[in-house]
Amino acid sequence: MDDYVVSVKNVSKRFGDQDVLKHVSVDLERGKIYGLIGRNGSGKTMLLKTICGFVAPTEGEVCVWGRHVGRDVDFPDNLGFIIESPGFLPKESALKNLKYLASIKNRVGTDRIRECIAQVGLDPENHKPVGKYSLGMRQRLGIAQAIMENPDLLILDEPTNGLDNHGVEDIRALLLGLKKEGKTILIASHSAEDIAVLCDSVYEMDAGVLTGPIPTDIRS
Amino acid sequence: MNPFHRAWKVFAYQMGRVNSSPRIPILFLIIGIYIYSTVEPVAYFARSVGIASTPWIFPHLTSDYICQMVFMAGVIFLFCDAPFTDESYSYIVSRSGRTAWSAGHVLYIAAMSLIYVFFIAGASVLPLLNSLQGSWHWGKVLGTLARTNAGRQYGMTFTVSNYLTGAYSPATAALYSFLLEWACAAWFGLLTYFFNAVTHRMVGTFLSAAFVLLDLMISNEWTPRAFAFSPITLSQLSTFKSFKIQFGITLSYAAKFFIISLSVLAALCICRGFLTRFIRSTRRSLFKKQGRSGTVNG
Repeated sequence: MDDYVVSVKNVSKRFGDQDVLKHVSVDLERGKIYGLIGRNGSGKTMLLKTICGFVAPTEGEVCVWGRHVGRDVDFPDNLGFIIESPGFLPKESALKNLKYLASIKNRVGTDRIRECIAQVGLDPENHKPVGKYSLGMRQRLGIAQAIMENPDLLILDEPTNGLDNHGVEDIRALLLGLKKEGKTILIASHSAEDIAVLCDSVYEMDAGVLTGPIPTDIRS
Repeated sequence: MNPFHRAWKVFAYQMGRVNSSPRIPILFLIIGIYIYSTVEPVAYFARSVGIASTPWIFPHLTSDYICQMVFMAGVIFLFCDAPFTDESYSYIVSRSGRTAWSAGHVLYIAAMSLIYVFFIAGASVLPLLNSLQGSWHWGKVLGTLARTNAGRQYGMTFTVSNYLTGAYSPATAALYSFLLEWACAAWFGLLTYFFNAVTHRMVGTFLSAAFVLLDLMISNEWTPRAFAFSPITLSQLSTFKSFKIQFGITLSYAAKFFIISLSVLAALCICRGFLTRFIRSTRRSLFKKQGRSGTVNG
């Protein structure tokens, strides 16, 4: 189990009579990009939330970096994520928002935060309040907050959502660069192109059942 | 990283969110208007008799049960979105951990309650600014209003307590009232937070609303002994007199009640994560005993 960055064993999640996840098992290895595809409401985001520790499975277990999520740790360490829309202080600038978040763990300095904001194509010196950002700019900032503490595992739900073509290209290049650095990345996406360009291995979620890895021809 | 540092950062982040919520300025505006309209007849009376009033209105306002209900309804409005899990929740709690996150919010509740009570105290003086005199005594205006029914002729809707003017110096009454009011506001905030967080529904908000009405319900229907568990009653300085004393309701009892219950509520809020883990592990072991497959975490 310790060989894998993420190990999901027989995880089910039930809300009343509804099974959102059904006996999901998957192992993620270091230095690869994994894709997760599926229709809206198929359980993709629920699986990501379960791995991140925000949802406790009804059955089964999730281990990240060899530690049982929910028993050994509340939330996995060394993990960056963006799930659904990121929440920021609307009246503060991008830099100030990320400084606020980074100050909680206090592991990175302002220079690193500036660098991450620039990496996602935003201007770290821009004092415009985040509340006035477009959806795409917020998404870029969300990705910057996910990578700013230099985690070795990234979990990204629709990372290119709301981005223009340039933005999509920027983020793809960024993620491929992170992969070269040995980061493990799990991406849930509706974009077939993102999946085809980025992912080494793709899984499909359908009504809470995970299947995969899917052959390349089916992906396209 | 030091958990106190993380709790402090969560608190700072939550305070940073305050000015982005229109709910809080709206609340302060409503309470400000209410206080102005309540205290304004005192200013009118002072102008009519040509004597300036002293600023010691606050202890009388907080000793009036209707004013207290309005102020505490404001507290419920202030904290009704507890446990404050908006879209930024996951990004903060994953960095701070659940315990530091809860501790940060306990600090936030204490701080916002303090600000709210400061606001009430400050707003109670504003209507008197045109006829105000600084003094360490109650003064003729408040003394007259306390001992006579002159206030009614000027449309006063709250009572200037004769008991307070006789039993306490103004500064002492203001200090005690301030501390009781702060404790009461924090009590409602923590109660709302804990039950909303545990139930994932607005149970805490409704429970707090029931406690706000408890003082009135006891007065109308229930045994006076129940006043001992009514925070609104215990935060009124004028309550520690006459028949309530025979039920052990004294200032000392109120202080003990708030210290103990606030400590318990704060501990429950902070240790909610441990409680959840304990429940999970108990359920896990129960499932194992029953021979069910897999591990239960939820």
